[in-house]
Amino acid sequence: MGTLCAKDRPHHATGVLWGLGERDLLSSRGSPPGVEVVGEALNPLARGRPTAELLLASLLEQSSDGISLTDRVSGRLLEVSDAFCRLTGYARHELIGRTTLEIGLIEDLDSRARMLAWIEQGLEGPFEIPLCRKDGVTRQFELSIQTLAGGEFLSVISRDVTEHRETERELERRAELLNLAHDAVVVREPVENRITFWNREAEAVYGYSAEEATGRILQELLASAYPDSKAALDDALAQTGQWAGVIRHTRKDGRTIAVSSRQALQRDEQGGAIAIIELNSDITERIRAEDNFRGLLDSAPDAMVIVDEQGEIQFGNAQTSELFGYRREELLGQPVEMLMPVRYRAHHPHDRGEFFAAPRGRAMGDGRSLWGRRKDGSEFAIEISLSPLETQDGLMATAAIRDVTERKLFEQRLSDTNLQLERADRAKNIFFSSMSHELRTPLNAVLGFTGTLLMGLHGPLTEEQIPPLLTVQRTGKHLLSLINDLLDLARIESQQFELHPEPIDCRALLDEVVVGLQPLADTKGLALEAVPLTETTPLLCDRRSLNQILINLANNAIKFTERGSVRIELSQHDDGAQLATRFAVRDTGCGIAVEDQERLFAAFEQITTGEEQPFEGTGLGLYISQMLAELIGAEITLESVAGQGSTFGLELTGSAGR
Amino acid sequence: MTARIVVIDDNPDNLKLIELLLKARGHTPLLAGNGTDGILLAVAERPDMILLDIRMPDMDGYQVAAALKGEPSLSRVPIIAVTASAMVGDRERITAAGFHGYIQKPIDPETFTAQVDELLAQHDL
Repeated sequence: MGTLCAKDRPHHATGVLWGLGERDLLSSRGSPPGVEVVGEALNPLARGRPTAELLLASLLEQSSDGISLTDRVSGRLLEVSDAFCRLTGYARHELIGRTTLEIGLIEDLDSRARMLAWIEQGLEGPFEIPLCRKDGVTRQFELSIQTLAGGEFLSVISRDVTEHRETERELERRAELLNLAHDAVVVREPVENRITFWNREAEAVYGYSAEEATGRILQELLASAYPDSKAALDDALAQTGQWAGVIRHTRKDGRTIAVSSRQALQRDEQGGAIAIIELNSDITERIRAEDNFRGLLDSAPDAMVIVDEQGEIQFGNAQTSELFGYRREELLGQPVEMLMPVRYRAHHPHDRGEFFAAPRGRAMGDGRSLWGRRKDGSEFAIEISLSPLETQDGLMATAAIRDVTERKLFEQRLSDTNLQLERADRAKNIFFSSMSHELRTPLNAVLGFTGTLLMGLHGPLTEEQIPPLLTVQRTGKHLLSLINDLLDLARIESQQFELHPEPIDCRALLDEVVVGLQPLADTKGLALEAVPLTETTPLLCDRRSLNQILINLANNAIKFTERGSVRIELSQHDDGAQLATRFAVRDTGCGIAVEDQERLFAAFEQITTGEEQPFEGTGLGLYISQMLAELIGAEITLESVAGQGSTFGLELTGSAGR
Repeated sequence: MTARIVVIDDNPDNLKLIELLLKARGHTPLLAGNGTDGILLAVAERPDMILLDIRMPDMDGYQVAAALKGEPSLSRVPIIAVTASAMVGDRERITAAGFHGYIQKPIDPETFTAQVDELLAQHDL
């Protein structure tokens, strides 16, 4: 701000007269009356050129600066102008012939000493010094001193700069305040845009010191880029007196910054443009943060809308535009209700009020059925999550909006499908039950009457009649086991097979299995034995499943063994937490080649040895056993070498049924 | 010992088979082809046992059993289900309905009468 003062500092127009000479009072040569001295001093002009004298007299009278002539040796005032009398309050006769000390104009010794020093050194000034007027008021004067006639006289031009200094001090105080401002304050003159003021924040923002910046042309110094053009900015200032916008500048260090600028044109009383004052703030970081924020929100999969307490949309991400069909600028500042069907709009401010009264996040999918409305008026199902967002501009609500049209459709379809499945399930249940009954009923007659024939209840049979009847009986029984297996399988596959875990005494179970299969083993002349533990821990398991698996495995072993034995071994390991139980069904049969083991557990597969007749059976036994084992969490293992027998293992790890 | 046994079944083949087996054992079978006839027959004859099919048109075995149980004169007569219903839960349902025994179809002609005799013995006859 100091520059501002320096520029406006008043300048002296001419040389002047002054009364001084305190130091020379004693060596005074006896001073003549001032008028005469003045007369002599001005003589050369007056005598030869009367017009020049008139001009001089007129100058003396018209100048607002006080002018005085002093005899350097005596320090007495020889002549004073009217303006000098006016400025000091003394009449002319009170001044002429006297020294300033005698008069009392200079009253403090320090000022006088300084002044004498200036004169001694031949300095011309301007100097500033306080002078005491006749009315006792001390005013600040600015003096310019000139030595005349080879050092005989001093002419002094004096000007009262009290007001000026106060103005300057006021300006400095203001400048100090402006330096405290958070804004970068820049003042430029309106024509060339030369910088006349540059506060401390401006130094920080732009990197140039006040000294470097002052006097430079603003847009050149900062390589400014305006939103439209510099001309547009100037037009706005000329027409409305103000402008606001974001300008990009290049700092002294070459970095580009974005500055939010408010500018005002100052005019004088006549309306002439005096200066343009700019208040600028660096928003580079904010823009970057906003860009980051926007980038983040744009990358979110959902539409994100930020709404203030008044319901105005403050932000909408790219997905919002895509979802609702509005361009971003069409959304900003608009009421958020525009995104809702008309029927919800009236009530929404109430809901919004409740949210802002007690801001709490709300997650998606809380069961509310909500609808959005596109620009084209079409509606679509949405889900919304809400969360409060504290910002510089106050509390906002962030809404993430998801189009759930697809999902709703999917859910509807799923629910339809489930209904159909349930119906189908019921139908299937009834079907199985009927099938079971209807397939068994005719077999009752087939097996029943074959039996009564063979029992001789219908009279004696011939030798030739017996074998075909036995074939009918055997195939009938085979058909019955096929039906039983198929129904089991169908029930397992339709997940209608319910498990009822109960504590099972494995040793007793094993005995039952052996007793049941003993007749079959006997007919083939095989030894069938259980090798149970002396002590077993009850196992928590579904009895029916476990029983059926063991029967299937043992039955298979007997079926595929021609000579030797079938042994069922039981082993248990109880570590307190878990009970590991293993049943091993070991036969001395034909064995299964490695390449056949894979497909052994597939439905309807039977491994044959080629020359022999296919084994009787459904081919479902192992397949069903495998499925049942899965149901009860057990595993069936197989160790076998073709021709050397097989061992099927059933391994369960589960809870003990204590 | 021999017994008088009412057999109720809608399938004539089944009726004939059971009749044949019971007669061969020396029992006296009394046959009814539907539930209503069976109830009337049982009330009139006061048999030693009733063998009752479950799946029948008009009245099913459960309804017939409920009616028979409501007849005081038959309160001590064991009712045995003879059924091809072999689905999971069928046996439980039958027991819960108050039947005194259960024989699964298809019956084994060689063991059928032995099963009947055992049930008769269980019920004090």
